[in-house]
Amino acid sequence: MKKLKSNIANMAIVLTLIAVLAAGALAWVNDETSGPIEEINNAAIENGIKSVILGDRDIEFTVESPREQDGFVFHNVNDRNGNLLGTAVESTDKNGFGGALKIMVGFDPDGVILGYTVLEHSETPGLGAQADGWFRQKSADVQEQPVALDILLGKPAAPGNHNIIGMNPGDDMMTVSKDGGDVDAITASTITSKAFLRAVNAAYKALFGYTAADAVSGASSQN
Amino acid sequence: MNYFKTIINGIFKENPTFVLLLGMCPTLATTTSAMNGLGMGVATMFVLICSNTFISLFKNLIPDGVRIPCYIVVIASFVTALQMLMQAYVPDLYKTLGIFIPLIVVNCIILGRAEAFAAKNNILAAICDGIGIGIGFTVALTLLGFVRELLGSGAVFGHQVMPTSMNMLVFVLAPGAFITLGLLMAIVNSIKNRKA
Amino acid sequence: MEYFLIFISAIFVNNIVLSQFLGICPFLGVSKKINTAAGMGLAVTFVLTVAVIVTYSLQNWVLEPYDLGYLQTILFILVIAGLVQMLEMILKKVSPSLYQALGIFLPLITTNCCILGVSILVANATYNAQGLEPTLLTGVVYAIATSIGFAVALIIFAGIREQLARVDVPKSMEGMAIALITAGLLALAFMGFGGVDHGIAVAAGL
Repeated sequence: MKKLKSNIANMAIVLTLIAVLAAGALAWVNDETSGPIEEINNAAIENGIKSVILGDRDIEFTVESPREQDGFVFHNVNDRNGNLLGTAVESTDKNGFGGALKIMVGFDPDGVILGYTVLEHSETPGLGAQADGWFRQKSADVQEQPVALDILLGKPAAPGNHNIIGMNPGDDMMTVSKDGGDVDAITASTITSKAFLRAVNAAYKALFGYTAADAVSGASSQN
Repeated sequence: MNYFKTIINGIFKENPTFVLLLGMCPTLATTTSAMNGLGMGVATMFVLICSNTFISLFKNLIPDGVRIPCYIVVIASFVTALQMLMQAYVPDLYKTLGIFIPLIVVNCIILGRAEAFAAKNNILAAICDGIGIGIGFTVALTLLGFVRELLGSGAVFGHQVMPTSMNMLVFVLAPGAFITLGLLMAIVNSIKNRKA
Repeated sequence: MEYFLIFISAIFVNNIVLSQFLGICPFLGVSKKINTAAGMGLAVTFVLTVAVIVTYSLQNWVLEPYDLGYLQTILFILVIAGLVQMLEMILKKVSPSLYQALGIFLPLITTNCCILGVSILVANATYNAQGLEPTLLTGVVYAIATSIGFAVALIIFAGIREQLARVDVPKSMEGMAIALITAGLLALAFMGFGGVDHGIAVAAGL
């Protein structure tokens, strides 16, 4: 077959044809994938709710339809008798290290933190991105290594207190220790840690109306 | 076997990363771990093979005057399709690679191969070229990711092999990407020099 | 004040080339001389600012109202390619001197991923707006700040490479290998700016 000549008519027809074809094909793919994509997004939220409220507990539960308010999303979780197990709150802080940090945090009816998960972040890999594990590590399992390595590399730093599970932002100072709070920041990632704790405090405040950090110092919650 | 030669050519003699020096942005940005490198490589390979096939198939129908815009539309469509498919079926990888998936469109490798190879050869050769260059790119990215992950987080494909206290975090961060690729390139050069 | 922070953050802390890895190709390709580097930087600033205005408008007034989000990539790249072509023609007529300065860089810009990348970041509002609402204005400020960051990185790097050209490097390290390692050291130096924007924000009482 001979190659088409580059006259205006040919060029216009071919380009239009390809563009229309491409748009049509994409519309079809979009149609085919929009279902699975929505399912996955819903599943992610559902898994998040399950993990921040129930943790490892295996009990029957139902999730009420979400309630949105001032940028927060609340999911109430009930056990099968309809008693409130806790509330999972989606909360965003705009000033993480690389931009917004979005978390979901679960509170029991008294305000005790049951669990959390990081939904979206743009923190530095290896540093701020550790937030997903850092704030639930118990002091004991922070670092363990063979004795030979202790001699070779020196003992690992003393484990700090950065497990927020079980804390209550209404009673505990949920700010980094540098600001007089009770939580150790991620090593070399104070900004991420502050953003994370701000998001937790904001979620609590949206749910219960006050936090301990608010009452003690307005300054630390500002920066 | 000519087609076999085309594939091998893409992996070694015309390796897009180490020899042609094309597509540097995703190479540096997405290789924080071997798995991410592999994912990006395979995604690029998919688009490359599709666009090579399509362009080789319709090369006579596309007038020279509008060939670049046509190629761009074709490539962008495959990239968008890939983007939606990844979002639906490998959401975790989709999240990690982020903006670098739509940016496959401006990866010079793909437009370069369309122009330099697919537009001049038959469909089978174009597919082989796509496979060869794709594998070459994937191997380079996986290798770079492997080295950075091993030195930076002490892991191989996500499995911890060294204690975390021995991590050299800088290799996972931006400077490590440049330095690792520079050193790998020096090694490739020295092998080439020895042969010559 | 927040706008100033966007500048500091985009130029030094999260430099588009050295920490976000966008626009690496021209960064490595046209950085052998300071003059060409400055020309490229200027051309990118020009195109990126216009591209962000057009793509942001398209995203908000065409793609989103008609639910056509999946055409984003294809539409943006076509717009950028068309824009570059148009700029080339306009410059040629209106300002021949500017055209002479930027002319050779313009065709290279279509495949510069920092243009498409920043356009997508701004359209999807996934950039660091320092707590401001992601409007067209913040988007444009971010685009200008980013391209200045691009130009700064490019010019510094070109300066280093001009010196490097006079040095005797081992044979295997010649060319791209030593350039990449130099870029790595430059990126390391820029990491020293980490957190500066937050420090300024705190000092300014934000």
